[in-house]
Amino acid sequence: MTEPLEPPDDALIAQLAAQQLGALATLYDRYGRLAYALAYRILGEAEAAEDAVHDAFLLAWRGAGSYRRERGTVRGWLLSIVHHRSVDVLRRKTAFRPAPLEAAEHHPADSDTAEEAARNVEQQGVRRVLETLPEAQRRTIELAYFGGYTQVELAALMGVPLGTVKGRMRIGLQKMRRALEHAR
Amino acid sequence: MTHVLDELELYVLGVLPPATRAEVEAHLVACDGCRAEAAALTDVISAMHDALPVREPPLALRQRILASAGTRVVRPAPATWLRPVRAWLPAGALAAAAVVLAVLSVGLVQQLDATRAELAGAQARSATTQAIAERVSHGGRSWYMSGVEQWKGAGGMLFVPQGAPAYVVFHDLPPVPAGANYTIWLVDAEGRWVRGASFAPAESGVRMVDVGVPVEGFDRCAVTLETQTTGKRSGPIVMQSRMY
Repeated sequence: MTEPLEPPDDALIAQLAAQQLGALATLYDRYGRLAYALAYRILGEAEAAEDAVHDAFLLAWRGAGSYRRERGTVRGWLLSIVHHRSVDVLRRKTAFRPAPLEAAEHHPADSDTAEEAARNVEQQGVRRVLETLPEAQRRTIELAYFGGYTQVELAALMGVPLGTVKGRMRIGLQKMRRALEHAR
Repeated sequence: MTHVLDELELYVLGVLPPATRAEVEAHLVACDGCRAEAAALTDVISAMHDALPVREPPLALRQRILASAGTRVVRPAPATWLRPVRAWLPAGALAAAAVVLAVLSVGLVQQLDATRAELAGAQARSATTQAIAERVSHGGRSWYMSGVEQWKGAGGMLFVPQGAPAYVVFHDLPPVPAGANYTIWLVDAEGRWVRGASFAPAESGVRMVDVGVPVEGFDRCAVTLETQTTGKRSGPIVMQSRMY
């Protein structure tokens, strides 16, 4: 007897839109760890990350009908909600901003078992791509995405004109894109 | 709007001002070329996600999300890509109240179908349960506090009905030692703890407790184990939640 197949992401979203709680559980089982890793990277503390992931999954639960396949994957959609929610929380906490650069790389992983090996290989590949970027571009991209800084804040923080900040983000992301495409 | 290629890197990094972001999103709906470019850049962001260190979320988070979702009323999906949480429950949402009770009373079971099956039994169990059902049916904003340390498995849903006093529905909260009590606290942005109700359950189960103070102006709620019914907090945190 064959095992029942896991529903694809698109089917899960349809079930979510129909308010089937089981679909939310499956979505969490599939992406909860990644969502938490992202929230923790941005917020730097477990409790706030837990709250952000909680809120993000509830937003997904209530807003599943707004998902548009042509705009990207379910994974990307869900993680964009987690990112927005985490950055919202971070911007309210004016006293705290996470270490912008390699802080996450220095955190020991809570789970680093054999089944993570494939993922670790992919992580290393992406990190190598990040390392190919000039320091200023990598720093700007990480501060923007994981630090939740606005363009204006970044310009002030780094002591460069706004146009330079924008240029670093544009050129850096395009370089990463080409490097990733080349690696695939 | 003309093509937005110059804005797309900033868009996927989330650094555009809200007005510009909205313009870009409106353009992406209609422009295949810009949308394809945005999708390619989103793949780069996705790769950054892949580079994140693995980090295990707390085991209770899954239950907490499912419990909170179980209390949310089903509404037509919004037309926007993202929107903020609006957690108001409509008055008279008896079905939602029933789900809350079922979820709480059976220890946050994870499947809605299963909770529905438990509903009849849960409602019939006691007059207390009926009273909670009636009160929860009036809806309101809600936040779930998840038990920590030795209180893992216990929890409490703080309800703030519109125009009515706040209350908490606790489940699986163990009895306290002699001379101790549970105390509900509200915490503001400056870290000031304001004492709400104190209570000492005689037995584990579902219990409703009035908070005793208005919740407006606070951004966190918590329950601690205390030996005094007045004064500053000194005991361990039993459960807590942020209030957004």
